[in-house]
Amino acid sequence: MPDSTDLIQGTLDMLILKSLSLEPMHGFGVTKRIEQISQGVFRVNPGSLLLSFQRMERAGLLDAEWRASDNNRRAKYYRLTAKGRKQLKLETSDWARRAAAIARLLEA
Amino acid sequence: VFRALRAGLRALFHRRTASRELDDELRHYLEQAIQENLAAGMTPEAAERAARLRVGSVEATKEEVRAGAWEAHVDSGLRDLRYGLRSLRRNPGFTLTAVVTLALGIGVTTTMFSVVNAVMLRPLPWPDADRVALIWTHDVRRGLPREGTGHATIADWQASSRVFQDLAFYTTQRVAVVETQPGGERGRTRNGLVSGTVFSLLGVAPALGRVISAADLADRANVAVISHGFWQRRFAAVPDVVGKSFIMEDGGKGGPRVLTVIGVMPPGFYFPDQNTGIWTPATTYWRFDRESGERHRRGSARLRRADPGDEPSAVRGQRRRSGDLCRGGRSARGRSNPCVLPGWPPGGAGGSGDRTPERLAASHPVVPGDRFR
Repeated sequence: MPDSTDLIQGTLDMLILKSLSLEPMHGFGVTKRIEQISQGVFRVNPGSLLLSFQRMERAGLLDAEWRASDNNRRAKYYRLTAKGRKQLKLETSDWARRAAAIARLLEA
Repeated sequence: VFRALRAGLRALFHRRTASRELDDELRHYLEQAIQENLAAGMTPEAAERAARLRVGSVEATKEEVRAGAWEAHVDSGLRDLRYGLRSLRRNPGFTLTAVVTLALGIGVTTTMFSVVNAVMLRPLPWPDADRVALIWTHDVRRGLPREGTGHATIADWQASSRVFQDLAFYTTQRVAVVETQPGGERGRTRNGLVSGTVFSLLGVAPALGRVISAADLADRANVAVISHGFWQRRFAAVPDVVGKSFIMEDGGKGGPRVLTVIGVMPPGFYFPDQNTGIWTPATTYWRFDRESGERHRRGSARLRRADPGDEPSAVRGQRRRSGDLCRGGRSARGRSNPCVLPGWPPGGAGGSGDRTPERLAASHPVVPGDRFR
């Protein structure tokens, strides 16, 4: 397995929102997606993940429901709310702005 | 915010459910991780080991998630509280000391405030209260300071006083008020037996009807002015109370008397204390005749209003001129001998925590002669 890094502070929420914007998922699904898409650069610790879920669910960005998973086990699926979608948009544009700025600084 | 509150409360009160859900979620996470490792071709043992390594301690994770929510603070507060209570139970000596200290502290503070509030902060319920003085006499012969004044003496002073604008007298007695007819339910109140000038001297007009007049005194009319509270309690605050009657037992030889209401005082007014619910003409007191000729023997308290511009020294001068009664004894202020104290309250004697007039009651103010406590 390649070296992995900790997530950049404050980006976990955004990455979760992005993963869930495609389809409702359970916790492990979100972890896997983040790891796959980042090609193993980012690894998500389940504690931080669930904490993030809890916070965003209470903030109304996510809805959660218990359903049977693929292998017929009970799993908690998270889904983006309208508010969550808006938040994702906001954070994405914010992130793009910052990344561009940092890139410019590094190239200068 | 509402969502967060609801979720937090649910976690607090359905702790077991919340904990189980978290458990389920984590277990599912772990199973998924194992599945993935198996799919990657690991042996079952290796797959589980790797997954557990990856997920870490379930309990630690749960704790981490729980600590991230606001209700965790409430929870730890409750735990601290429980711990505190247990400690108190283990150290009964310390607990007792703390409780007694708190109780005494609160009690003393409350009492002090009641006294200060009654004596110093709340104004008396009549205008220009600082121009009203209470007068009493010292019974030199029997060595009783601050006694009431005999009715004949009051009459003398009424005739000769040049310093006071007005002069009134009163006493109070405990009476029973009988509901509607004799034998009915009895209530207690104090009856203020007053001269006709009391209300005008205090400068308070009735809210309804009229106050006691000189004619009422002369006729010994069975009339009563009632307090606002008495009106509300006894007459349910009916607007046409003037002219209605009630029965009062004052222990007199004439038995119960039927009194007609002639007036209601405004709310907040009381005289001389808040227990006095009715006022009747002083001459209706059943021992009035026997005592009205007395001079200084038993004593009574009188009240008079100084003329505007009078200095306390003038009032004291008046007192000296008014006779021998002021010799001996000490005033409440500790100076010798002033039996007239300008201003109200009349000195610093402590009451029982009630308002200033309580002190007046403590100094046996009485009118035509007898004493009631």
